[in-house]
Amino acid sequence: MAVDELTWMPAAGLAASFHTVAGLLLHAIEGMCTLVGHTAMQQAGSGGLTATEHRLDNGLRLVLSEDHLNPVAAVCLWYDVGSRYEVKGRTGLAHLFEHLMFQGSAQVKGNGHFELVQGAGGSLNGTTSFERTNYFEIMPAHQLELALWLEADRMGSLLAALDEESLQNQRDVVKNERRQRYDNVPYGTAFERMTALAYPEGHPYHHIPIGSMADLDAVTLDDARAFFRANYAPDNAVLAVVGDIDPEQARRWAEKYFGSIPSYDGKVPPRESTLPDIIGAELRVEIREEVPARALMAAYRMPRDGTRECDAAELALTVLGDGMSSRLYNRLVRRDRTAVTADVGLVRLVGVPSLGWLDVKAAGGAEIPQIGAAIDEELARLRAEAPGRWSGRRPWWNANGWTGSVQWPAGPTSCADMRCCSVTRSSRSPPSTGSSMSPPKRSGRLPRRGCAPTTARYWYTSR
Amino acid sequence: MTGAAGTMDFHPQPAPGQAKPWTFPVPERGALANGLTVLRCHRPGQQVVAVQICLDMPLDAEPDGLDGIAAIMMSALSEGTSNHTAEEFAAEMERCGATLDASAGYPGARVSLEVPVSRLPRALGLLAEALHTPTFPSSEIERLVRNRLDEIPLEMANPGRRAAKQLAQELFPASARLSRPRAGTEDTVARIDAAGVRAFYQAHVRPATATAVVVGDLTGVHLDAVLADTLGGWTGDAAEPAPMPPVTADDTGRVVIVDRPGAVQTQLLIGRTGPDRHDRVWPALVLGTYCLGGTLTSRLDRVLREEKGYTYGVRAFQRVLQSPAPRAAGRVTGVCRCSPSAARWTRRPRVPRWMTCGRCCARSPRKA
Repeated sequence: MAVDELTWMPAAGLAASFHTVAGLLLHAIEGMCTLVGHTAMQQAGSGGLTATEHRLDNGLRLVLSEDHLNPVAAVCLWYDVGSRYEVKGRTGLAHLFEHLMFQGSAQVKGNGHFELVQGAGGSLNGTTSFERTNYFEIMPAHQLELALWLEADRMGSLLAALDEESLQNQRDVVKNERRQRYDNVPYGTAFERMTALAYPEGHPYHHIPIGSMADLDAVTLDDARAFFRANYAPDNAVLAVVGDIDPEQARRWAEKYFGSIPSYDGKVPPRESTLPDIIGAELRVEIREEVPARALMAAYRMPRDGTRECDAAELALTVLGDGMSSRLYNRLVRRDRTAVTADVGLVRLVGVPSLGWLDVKAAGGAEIPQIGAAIDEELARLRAEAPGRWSGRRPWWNANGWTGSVQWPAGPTSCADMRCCSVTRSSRSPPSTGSSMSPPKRSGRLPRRGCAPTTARYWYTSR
Repeated sequence: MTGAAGTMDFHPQPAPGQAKPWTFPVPERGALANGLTVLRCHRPGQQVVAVQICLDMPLDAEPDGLDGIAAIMMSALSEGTSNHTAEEFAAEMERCGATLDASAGYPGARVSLEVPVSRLPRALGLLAEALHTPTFPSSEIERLVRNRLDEIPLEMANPGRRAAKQLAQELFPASARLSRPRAGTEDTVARIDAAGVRAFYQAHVRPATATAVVVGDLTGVHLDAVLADTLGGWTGDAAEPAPMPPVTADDTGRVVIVDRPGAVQTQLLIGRTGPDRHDRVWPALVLGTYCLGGTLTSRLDRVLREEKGYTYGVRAFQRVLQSPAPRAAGRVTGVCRCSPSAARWTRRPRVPRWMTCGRCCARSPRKA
């Protein structure tokens, strides 16, 4: 299917079923990336997950993990390339290219990648986000070698098969993907708009992976070829093989099929992406469109992935807006009854501050300012009061800075009436030096106090 | 690295290894003293236990004019019990690390619980509370009704949901519950109140016509004792299985267009009814439908997506509507879903004759 950027809000149904599969696999890999050398992982929780990491001479990193519960093996090939590598006028190229990876290579004809995997009883897909692109196959254990052969063939020889016909066809498919998941559903472009607010014009994270129609139209075969040469190489990838495997055998197969693919040292780093940890101002946009209900959405710059502050921030967001007992659900949906849904989440990013998001769909007569005020109060309370069993201790996170909010008043109005509103900035006292944050300890216990020293001294309302 | 010339060493496509035998786990069947049927399945290594409670409560059982009361009732099971307020219940459940989901479908209702095995007894206790002692506070029912009324416009603005509603309305006779939205319409939902929900609960929720399915790593779990302490306390009278009238549908070929000017894409749904899943042809039908439109390498995708680029994808599938017992005559709807762009659709892709049955085409709302 070769689809889907980072999941934010489920827009349309087709790709939804893949997120679960991908999610399971990604978890496994994220847990392993912290490993160095050939260390076996500690027993992790009740699952007893273990993994080893190896590196081929051409730079390909190999992660192996045994799980013999079922005769199934999964392969995930993760490339260090995503939409942040795209340049002006070529947004959407990384994701379009992901589609082209399913169009055949030197030894795999046409749609053969899909046909061989599915014919063997396996399932497969690929996903593209800001920072990485991944490809995965879930195979009956006795067909693992086929998946490795297929992945190696396209890593090493895609350009032997890539042609204009494939590009034209997949360009049309991706444009229809954009229509189906973004342009033709209510609020479908909200994430795109908020990302554009959170990361400034010209910044590599300003646009989302799906790209613009005009840029998709502009992609040439030479663009695609250059993109492959720059990014699809063994020393720019991590290969994970997980499941009912013989690790020694899997290692030999990886060596056999991937070992001769030349490494490439010409990788161009992503464009300069330095940003302050907070935006330092509130950006507010009111959008008047024909939507079924008013909505208030917001984006925040949050700590980067890989830091303990990021883990703490995610916990804070969970308390704030995840699940049926979150503070925002209790406040807006249960008590105030001003909202139909209230959700909060975090898109973890490595190269820039992560993206926290908030999405509230208003109930019948509720007004956006009313909802915005309640959210502000809950954010203030989040700063002041620890949740449930930790109450009585000092707060352990910082609610962080707002970057922007998007409002969707209901009613049939013109799209042209999108207005940029003025910025309000409310200063708050800087935290005292004694209140710097202790991030969560490895034991999983929450620290007792503090605010992240790198994060907001200001926060910004959504109204 | 042997690729000095910029090429790799190619190897022939590998042959598969020896397939390992695997059989679908067979659940062990039993029953509690209160009549609750229990299916259990020990899956070593699955530390998150999945529990499903299936209630024999088809939407046909909803009183006339109160479409949606089953959905409201199921949502309200966890919104106040004899021991917990709605907020307390949700917090207790999440403290177990559990997720609870309750929904009412056309053939019956389900409650799904997923919980780490270490907290299974506690979560099952909460689940039993929700099933046995819901209080259905008026205030919570009013909130759920309002919430549902607010959800309906959101659903109607979604092209896929909109088209599915229209297809059901066209395909099934107006008298059939299947022809109307699962969770009701503005008119019917607005009539639902706490008294009606309590009466509906009394009439249809009882252990004697319910089934619990428990799947996970049950090593060291004294499941019989845990079930006796929790779901075993759920009481109710005996009852006959709910009647399941045969499904009828009008398969006459026709096209229905729901016009939404300004939409940048068209949602196309094609549907008809077919044999029941207990019919001999069922396995062949599943396979045939998959070959037709079940995946990217299916025939429809190969043409409409990979050759023409008209769509992001086509999906064809069977949906079991009502399937009361082996060999009985139930019905299934086959649905084919496709989203070609508006521009492409104006070219009128040729539709094979076999598709001209109960067609529904819904254009989606103005570009958002």
